[in-house]
Amino acid sequence: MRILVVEDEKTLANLIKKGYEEEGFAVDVAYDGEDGLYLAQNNIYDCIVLDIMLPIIDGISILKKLREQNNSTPIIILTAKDAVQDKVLGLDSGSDDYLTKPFSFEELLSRTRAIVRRKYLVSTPIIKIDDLEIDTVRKTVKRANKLIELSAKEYTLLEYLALNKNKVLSRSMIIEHMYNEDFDLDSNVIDVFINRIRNKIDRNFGKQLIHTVRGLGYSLRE
Amino acid sequence: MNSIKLRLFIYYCIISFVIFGALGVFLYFSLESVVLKSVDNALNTKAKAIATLIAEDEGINFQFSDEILKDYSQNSKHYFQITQDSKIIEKSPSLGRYTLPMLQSAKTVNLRGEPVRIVSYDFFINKKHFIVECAQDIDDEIDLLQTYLGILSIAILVAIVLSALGGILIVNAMLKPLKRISNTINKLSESNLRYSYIDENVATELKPLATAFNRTFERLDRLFTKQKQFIADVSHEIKTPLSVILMETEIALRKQRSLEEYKSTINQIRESAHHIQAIIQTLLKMIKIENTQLLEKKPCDIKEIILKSISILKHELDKKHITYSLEGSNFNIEADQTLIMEVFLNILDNAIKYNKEAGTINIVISPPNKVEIIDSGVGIPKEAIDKVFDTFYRVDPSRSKHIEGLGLGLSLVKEILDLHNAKIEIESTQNTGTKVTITF
Repeated sequence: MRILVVEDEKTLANLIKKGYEEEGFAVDVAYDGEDGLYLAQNNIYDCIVLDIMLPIIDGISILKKLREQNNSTPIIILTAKDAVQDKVLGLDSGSDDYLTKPFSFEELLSRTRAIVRRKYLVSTPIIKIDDLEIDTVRKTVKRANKLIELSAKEYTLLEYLALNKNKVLSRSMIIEHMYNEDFDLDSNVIDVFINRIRNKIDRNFGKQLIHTVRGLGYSLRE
Repeated sequence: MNSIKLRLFIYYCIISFVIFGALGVFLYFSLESVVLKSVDNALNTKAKAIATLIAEDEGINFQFSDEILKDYSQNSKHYFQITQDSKIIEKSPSLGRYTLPMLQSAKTVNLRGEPVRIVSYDFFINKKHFIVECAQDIDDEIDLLQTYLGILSIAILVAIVLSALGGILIVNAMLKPLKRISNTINKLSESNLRYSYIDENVATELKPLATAFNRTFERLDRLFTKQKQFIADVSHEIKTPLSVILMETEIALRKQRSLEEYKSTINQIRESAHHIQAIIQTLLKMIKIENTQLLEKKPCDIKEIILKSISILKHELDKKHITYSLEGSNFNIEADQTLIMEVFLNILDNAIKYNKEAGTINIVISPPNKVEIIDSGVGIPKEAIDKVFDTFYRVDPSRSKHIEGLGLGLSLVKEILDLHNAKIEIESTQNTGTKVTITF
């Protein structure tokens, strides 16, 4: 899960980044509207957390510009402006959610998860593929009712495959999704992760769920 | 009761009562005199006729024709009496045993309990003094006058009532614009202040009132808007450090942390709390200044104030290795010394904060009333100059981490200078410096 946080108050921006990262998200941060818009236009995010009062370009303009360019990335507005007309303006300009400061991080987190589920057209927090169960809130994985231990990165990759079940994901898509832009990784890393996950969820169970699509990437399907 | 309407009504009644009353009295007496005059004239003619008859007989014989006596028969209401040298020598049968009193002029007397009008006519025949008195019952005329008096009284009463009702109508019409004004004021609340307006197209006498109210509405609206904006600004400003505290604590409590992490969390919370504290202190200062009606104005030495401000900021100057110069001769101003010191502290503080390392600050005092402060700092972008006096405005909000400040300073400065009728102007070139000119 990759998230962009656009917030001019650096202390707060870095705290949000830290919180998300501890939840296994990959986070990019922009401290002004110009950087924020550039990052949003040039990367694929699962969610953008956007302040309204920003230097250079304000949040509402960023929002409108992205929607004009048919960028449908879910956007949560996070601002101190709490008047009804501000919320209406924010939502009508194309944001998916509106959260006012001061806020609870738990709430931001659950709203982020809900918005991402909606993006992938998944309605419950538990994704099921055959006898594989992924709980996106508790971040636990079970197969045939047996709890499987995964590392944070392994979980992130599996969840991404599960959210996109039956679809083929390329190695570069997976990398962009798992890491923020500070990382410059060889796509072979993904093969290593896929192998580890296969060992944990497929090896001791009869049916294989993770499939390699030659020349394209990987897919999770029944 | 203290009602304009009631009082006006009472005045109206009194005035119309006096006017119509006087008119009634005048009408009554003039009719009475007209009636009596005509009776008197008729009686006079009769008396003269009798006198002529007497004169024809040379005052010896009183043989009146039946024609004449018929008018004065026993049951007639007409009487006559002839006196010769104070002795009654003849009277009409209608008088019976009564006699008419001796009179100098026409008069109404009571005879047998009836009002009777008497007219006398005297003349001489052969040096004998004759007086002919003719009289007539005037109960019919009195009745007529009584009826007239009754009708007149009723008419006057009706006229008084009608004019009083007219008075109420006029009073109501006069008070209508006042009622409209009071209705508008009644409906007034802080939210519709902006849309409250009294039609100024009213009577000339009420126009100043309407205009005064409209101006008051505008002033109040501006004040309320300013206060609302201020509260909004404050809550907005406090929300950010509050969010930081909440985030820090929530994240810290999510799982077991190292001692170092806890320490950094607590430090961050302390910093945010200090930030909130500083916001509140500055706010209280602003509220205090806004509430200060009476400034402690006394002559102050401008150079002394500037030097004091510099000595307070000495530490900050040295920390950034900034050099300053103070030029020009001195002048005095009438001002509140502590507040003016606050102005220079804020401006100099900005000149230090936004200055480059080892920069300069030049202060030029030009009598009679001008002070210029020129720094070699980062400058202010053109589009931002007008906004620097707004509460909480900062040219670049993302700089908040590097430069301690609240964005309240310059709005405070403006507030103080406004109270002293002083002007502040800012000229700035980006990356070269800023010149602040204060004119007292």
